[in-house]
Amino acid sequence: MSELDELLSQPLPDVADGGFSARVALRLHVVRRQRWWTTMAAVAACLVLAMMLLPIKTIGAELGVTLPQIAGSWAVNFAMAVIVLSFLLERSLSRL
Amino acid sequence: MGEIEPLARLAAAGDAAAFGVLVRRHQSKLRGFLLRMTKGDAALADDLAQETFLEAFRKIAQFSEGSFFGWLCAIAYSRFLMQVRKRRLEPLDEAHDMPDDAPEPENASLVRLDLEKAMARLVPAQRAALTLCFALGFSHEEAAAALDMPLGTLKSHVNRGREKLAAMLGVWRRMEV
Repeated sequence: MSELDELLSQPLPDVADGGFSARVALRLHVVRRQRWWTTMAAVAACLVLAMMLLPIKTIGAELGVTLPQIAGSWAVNFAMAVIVLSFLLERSLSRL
Repeated sequence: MGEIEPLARLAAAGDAAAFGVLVRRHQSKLRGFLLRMTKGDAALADDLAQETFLEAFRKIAQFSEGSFFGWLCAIAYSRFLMQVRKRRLEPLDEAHDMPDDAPEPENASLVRLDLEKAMARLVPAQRAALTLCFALGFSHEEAAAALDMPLGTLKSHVNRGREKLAAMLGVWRRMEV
């Protein structure tokens, strides 16, 4: 290794933190808070839009009729039981 | 540098405290790198380092493999280039290279300052390539990835930068004697 390479390979001088990490943490906190409010605003806007555009009353009435029929169906209950059992089995196998 | 730091993995999963530890762990080296890139402008280097960490936090989910510090350097270098273009701080290629002039006599005997002075006369790509490959111990492949350039280009920046540094330091030392 040449003299120049040795000189170049010297580590960079340490830079004292001097509150730098704390300033970054503060700015990160602001970014996270902005992100949270933006997400909440977007969700609220979507909900309002959905309430305005979807025929909520009609859907509610339809569900009131359809859900009891589904709940009373033997085939649907059997399918649900299979799904739940598969899920529980997969979880217990993944723990082994 | 092949394994992902466990802290980076935690930060990528949304752990802000883990990201805070990464900031404390890497701030000195990153600011040192940027200090050299900005030719000792500490205020600009710190601004760029802060922006780098913020951008890294926003894009942490995109970080999937390799060295976290290498990834930080890639963001820092691209931010630095943006600032150079925006503020017209210095020419980016050798076609507009700055003329070599003699060092100030009061610093001529201090090797470290000589090196920093000579480094400041290189174009940014050469400065970055030499700093990453020598002072920060990156392999050529890692440095090429961090600077977003082909491996051959990186090697030519390293060689050209070394030649220029050797010439400048040699001339200055002869002047000193």
